[in-house]
Amino acid sequence: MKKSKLSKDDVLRLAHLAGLTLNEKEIEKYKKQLEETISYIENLNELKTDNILPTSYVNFLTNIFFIDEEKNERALTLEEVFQNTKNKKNNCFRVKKIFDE
Amino acid sequence: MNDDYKPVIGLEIHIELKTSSKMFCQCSSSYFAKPPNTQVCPVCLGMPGALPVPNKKAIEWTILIGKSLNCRINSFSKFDRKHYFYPDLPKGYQISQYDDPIAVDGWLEIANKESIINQSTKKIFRIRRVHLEEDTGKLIHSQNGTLIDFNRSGVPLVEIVTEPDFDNSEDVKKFLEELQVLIRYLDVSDADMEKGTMRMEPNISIISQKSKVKEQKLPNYKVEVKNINSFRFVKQAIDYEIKRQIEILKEGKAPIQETRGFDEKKGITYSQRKKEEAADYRYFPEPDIPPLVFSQGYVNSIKLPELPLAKIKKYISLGIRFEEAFILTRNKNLADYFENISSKFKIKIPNLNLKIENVDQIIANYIVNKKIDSNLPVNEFINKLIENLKPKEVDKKLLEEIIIKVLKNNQKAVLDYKKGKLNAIMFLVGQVMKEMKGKVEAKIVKEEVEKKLKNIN
Amino acid sequence: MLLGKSLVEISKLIEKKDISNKEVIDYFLKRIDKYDKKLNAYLTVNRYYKSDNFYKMILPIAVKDNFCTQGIKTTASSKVLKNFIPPYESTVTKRLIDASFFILGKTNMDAWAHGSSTETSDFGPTKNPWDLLCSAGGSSGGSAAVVSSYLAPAAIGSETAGSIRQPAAWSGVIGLKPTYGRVSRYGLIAMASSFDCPGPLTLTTEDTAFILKIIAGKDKFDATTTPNEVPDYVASLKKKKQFIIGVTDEYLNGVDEEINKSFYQLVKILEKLGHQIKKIKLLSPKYSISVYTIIQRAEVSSNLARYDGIRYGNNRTFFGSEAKRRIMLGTYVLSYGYYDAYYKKAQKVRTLIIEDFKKVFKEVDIILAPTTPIAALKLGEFDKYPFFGEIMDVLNEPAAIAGICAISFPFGLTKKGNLPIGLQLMGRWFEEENILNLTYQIEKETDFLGVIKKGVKKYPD
Repeated sequence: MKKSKLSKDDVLRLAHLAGLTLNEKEIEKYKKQLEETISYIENLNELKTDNILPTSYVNFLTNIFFIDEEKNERALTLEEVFQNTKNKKNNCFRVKKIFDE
Repeated sequence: MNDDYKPVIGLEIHIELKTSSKMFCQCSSSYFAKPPNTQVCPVCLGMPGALPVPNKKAIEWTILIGKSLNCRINSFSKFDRKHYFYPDLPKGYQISQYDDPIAVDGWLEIANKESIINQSTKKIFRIRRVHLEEDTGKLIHSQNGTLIDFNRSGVPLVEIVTEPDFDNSEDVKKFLEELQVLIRYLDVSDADMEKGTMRMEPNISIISQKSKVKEQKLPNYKVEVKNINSFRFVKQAIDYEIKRQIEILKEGKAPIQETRGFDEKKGITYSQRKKEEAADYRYFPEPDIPPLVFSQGYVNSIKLPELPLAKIKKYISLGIRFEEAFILTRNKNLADYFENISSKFKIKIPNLNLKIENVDQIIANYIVNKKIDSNLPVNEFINKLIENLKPKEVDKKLLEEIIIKVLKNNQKAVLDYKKGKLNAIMFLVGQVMKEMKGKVEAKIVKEEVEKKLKNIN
Repeated sequence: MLLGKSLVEISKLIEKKDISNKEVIDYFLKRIDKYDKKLNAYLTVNRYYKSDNFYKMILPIAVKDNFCTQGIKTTASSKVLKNFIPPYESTVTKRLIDASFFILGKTNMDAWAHGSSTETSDFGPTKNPWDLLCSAGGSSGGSAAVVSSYLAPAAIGSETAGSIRQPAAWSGVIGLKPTYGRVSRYGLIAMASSFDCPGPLTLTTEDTAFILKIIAGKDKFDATTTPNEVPDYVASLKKKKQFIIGVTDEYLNGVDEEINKSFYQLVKILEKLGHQIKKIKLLSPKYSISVYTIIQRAEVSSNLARYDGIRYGNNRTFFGSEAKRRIMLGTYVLSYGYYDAYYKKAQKVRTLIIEDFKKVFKEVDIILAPTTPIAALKLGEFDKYPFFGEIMDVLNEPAAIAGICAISFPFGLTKKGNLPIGLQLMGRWFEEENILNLTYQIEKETDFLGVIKKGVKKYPD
């Protein structure tokens, strides 16, 4: 399912998935830029990869863990937790009321 | 239930592991009743530059759960990112598992008298997959805003997905209870629905048997029900939902695919905000965590304890009744207690002057019917048991007095017996036992009463 | 007296008590006051060192503003993190501090490391010390500029695909991209998780080795760091090593002729030094652009999902247009129905590129190539190029995709603009010793054609 042309709805849907709000001008601008990029990256179809496995990990490591009960060296104090926000109430982060339940 | 309509129910269960540390950082994972945001670090708060490192024990316990559910443990597994925006999800994605979960293709058999004793059809429900992920923070809704506590963010969560093998709420309830017992046997979680360490969501659909559409094995929609907080409510919610869907189908309409909430006060499900389209989670392999490779040797080294169903079968073979075997095995501590007593007591028997048959059934009986307190240390229990089993020293004089008294006061029963109604003796024996306050065995009473009755004309 | 001295040289002076650490730091602060306004290389200057701990701090170093430094503002050059003060320290800066380094300040960069010119910074671009009308390169433009103009004796940058090597080339300093997994990313504001590599920018190869030795090594907070031992990079610099060096036309096509000339000049010198030059074939870098664009943007869209303004920073409306564009494309290639065609395909070609390097490294020890196809562009010129400059990184992307190590060093100036020319060496996974050793040989033999000294002289005390 490849297409180099995007509709306005496509762009809006992407923006919604990405948590971004775009104005009319931006929708038009990104639509064009995305289409350009998409048509370039299709050059990958020139390469045959039928029997090639995808690389998800660039290192050669497996089974990297930490041991349960290790001392917590990174615990944050309440002051540190909230030092970068004003959205605070009763030692919780505060957001606009969510109507979901 | 309506024969034309068959419910098709699958379950999604989440088990919160009781590891000391969280899934991807060293913060404490026991968050219950702790002051908000006091068990967090840059990792579980999703701060810039923070990276996850997986908790080895959480992975081992997931393998343990998978094995206990007869799953195949994948030799290759990995974590994936699952993306969506919600205030309780600090990174904007949850680290979970998508196409390479730790365990797949298992099953759980529900302990059932008929199937164990009569070897008739077993009640088996298939497990599709068992995977590991992290929990989100907690939202606290109030009048003028929503508050977020991240103490729970990053706690290890095992997700168990069943095949849609259920067709009634009773089976679902029994399955969940069995699963809860099993998880507690493994000692990996408290699995408490009220505390939220065990959560479940049923997916419910109905197939219309009438429309025998050739290939229709599964319905083409499903309704997910959220916010069910106890086994009792599970049954209620499912029954309500089945009824609701059948009514819609009867009208010739099709139920909408959606997520519904459960109102426990009204006992009904209700529609939540409908999602316009299926969520696009844009899964891709988690680049910050190297994959997991499990050798056969490693998987084999993760040992299961003896599981509830196996114990039930073992106890039955020891001569214990199913009902009592069932009760003893609902709690591993109790089962271990029983087995402890049984083995210690059997060692002592040769030195006691007791003729006892079916020792295990007797001990089981005493425990289940609380004839002796099972909170007592093993040795005390055994001593009390020995006391109870010793033939009682009969006060022969007292017995004779009471028998005479009882026979005198129950002339009718005596006459009945003399007339040939031999069962009347049981009534007399009962009366004597009552007066003797259990200090004598029924067998002996019956013998003496018979003797006395013979001497009466 | 201090002007142009390397880190190692400064540490020797302090050791001999020829100068105190306080004097060293004050010296750089004075230079920063004098020149940084022109260059806009620093975003934050750390003037308030605690005097009681101070005797422990010896060597100053500048750090790119995407490394979380506890108590020091860290912005990734974005308005989203305009006032963000990390409550914790990145592993790289922690190791430096434990080794008695003093963080002079945080340097400017392309916002979120999205770019090759430092022009996407929300706080203005960094000028190239060689020509203030030109870009210093990016995304570690600030780090390259401060070293080039000696506003710090060394700096830490990060590379996703070219972000250390390219600004090093354009600003005329040495820049090393270590093997992926050699240096911890914990505390480095993530751009593309399977590419990001912290690394040093310096005036001498010895300094590069010196810093790498301190920051490299397994970190329990980063599961992608290698458990491989950290060799003594400084000691192995001076060993007499001979290498088989690969060169390929694929990496010379479309390159500016002056850079080409510089390249062949070095080839002759390497032959003179006894190394063997061998012609090799590598996959065309044009595929690397697509692979990198797809995978990087997918990871970027994911790594930027945490910026919702709730727990820290500003909300997502504060993202700049380049960030938004990359997030959108990343979301597109991961979205339902497109994953196989783009993301999975790119991952497969990534395998091809890795296998390609494995094959070539059986024949050669090191690959020599230009770092960039052209020297520093004028500010504002980038708009003409698609992908906002990814084309500029075409010679750097293959190494980044494979995760191998690579180092850029200056080798001459263009006649046209009197701008530094950068050449690079690429080495096998975890063989930083080889490329450092060869760079050291080149430095001893040619002094990089005097570029670094010339650059520092432009900024007298």
